Amino acid sequence: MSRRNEMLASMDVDDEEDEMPSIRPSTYGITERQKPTYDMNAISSSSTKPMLDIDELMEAETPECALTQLIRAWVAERGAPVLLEWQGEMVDEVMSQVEEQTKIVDSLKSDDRSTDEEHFQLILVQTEVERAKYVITSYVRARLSKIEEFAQYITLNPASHRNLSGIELSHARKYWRLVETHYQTSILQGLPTAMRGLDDNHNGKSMIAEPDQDTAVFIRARRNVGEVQLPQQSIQLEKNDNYLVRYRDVAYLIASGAVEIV
Amino acid sequence: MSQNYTDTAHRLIHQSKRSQLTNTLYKYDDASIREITRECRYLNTQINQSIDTLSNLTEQSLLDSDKPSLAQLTILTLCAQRNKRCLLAYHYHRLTKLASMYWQSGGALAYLLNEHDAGGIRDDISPSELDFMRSYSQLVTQYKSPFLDVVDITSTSLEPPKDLHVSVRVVRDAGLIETQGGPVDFRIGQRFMVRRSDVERLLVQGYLEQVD
Repeated sequence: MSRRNEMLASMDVDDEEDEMPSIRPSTYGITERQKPTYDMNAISSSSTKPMLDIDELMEAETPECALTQLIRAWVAERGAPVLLEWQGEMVDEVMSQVEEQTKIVDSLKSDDRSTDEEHFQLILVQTEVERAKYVITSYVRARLSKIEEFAQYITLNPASHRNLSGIELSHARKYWRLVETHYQTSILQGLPTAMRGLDDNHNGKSMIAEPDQDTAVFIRARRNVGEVQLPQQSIQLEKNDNYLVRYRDVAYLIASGAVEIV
Repeated sequence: MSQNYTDTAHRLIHQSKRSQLTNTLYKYDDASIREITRECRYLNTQINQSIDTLSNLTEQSLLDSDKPSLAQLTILTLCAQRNKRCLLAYHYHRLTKLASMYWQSGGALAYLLNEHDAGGIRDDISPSELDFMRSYSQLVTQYKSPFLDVVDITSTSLEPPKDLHVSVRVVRDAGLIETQGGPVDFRIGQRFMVRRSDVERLLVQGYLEQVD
């Protein structure tokens, strides 16, 4: 009996924030964390603290668990025009947690001595596990779609390699080879030799698709940054301020973790 | 041919646009592709000819006397480039479409190609595109293998899961499926309450339909 309780207790620590009661449906945790995205008055710089309970909760999370970090990375990845750094450790951590939880859940489920209340807790844990899997999938696929879109650019620019994992890089290379082969056999070999290039540069427009760093992104400051110089003006960036800015101008802040994309 | 240069290419782009707007894949337009490449080769010989004639002239006389030939050369080159660009755009659009169809089908290539009830896309794609699809499928399988212990990134839908269990209706016979609660025989018309993760793939591929 005590062993089972220990297991359940450890699940709560892993999957949910420490300050929450253990039977809290942690699914709400995810939606709450994202809520400011919808609620905020993003374009203006109003820093009226929205949803202050949640903000306090977020502050209380020290240190953040791997899943929370991964969710943050996932939201950023979906918002950013370029590929951000591959969070391999986080993904590995969450994946091993998922595996561990699944094992514990399985062993507890087949255990006849589990009480009804424990079964209820198990359902919550299982739901959380499913959600964690969803975040992993979505994160990986968001990256994959960017990698494939810019495969040619990645292949030709070693500078863009540092944000990719080894397997991602090889995927980009192989994918571009596939596309290239397809172009060659379907079009280019029918054209005159002089027209067979895939990296022409007509009227200053390159054929190689690059990530558009001038895309606008919504950002929120995670701590007080102070004055930030933008090309047109400078802004005072305080904690929880929301702005709509050009990605290029704040890329360094995003990289440092001072602001996050929402 | 009574039409102008690049007209065929223009038609091709229209087709891509239509395909994009209606979200359907059209049959690979082999005839137009061949016509455009032929046009490109013809343009190329024209270009080479005018270059030959022009290069015999000195720079001064070129500017003085032969402005029409220069203009012609520019037009021909632009047409050729435009043709090429349209061809690439057409193929690129098709590849993107095919790849997205592949993901939508949950990575089930054979199913996508010809085992579909309403007929697969096998007849609508070119041999080279078929090769692409096969290799792409291999590539994705390779890519997802490190994650496979925990998640299959191709078979999960992109909707965030809300509940552990879903109520589903069987739209097509799926046969005996092993679930965590034992094997379930999915027959058309039946309804089940099952774990979402067990039937995710069937949902994505359209064997089951979620009932709210």
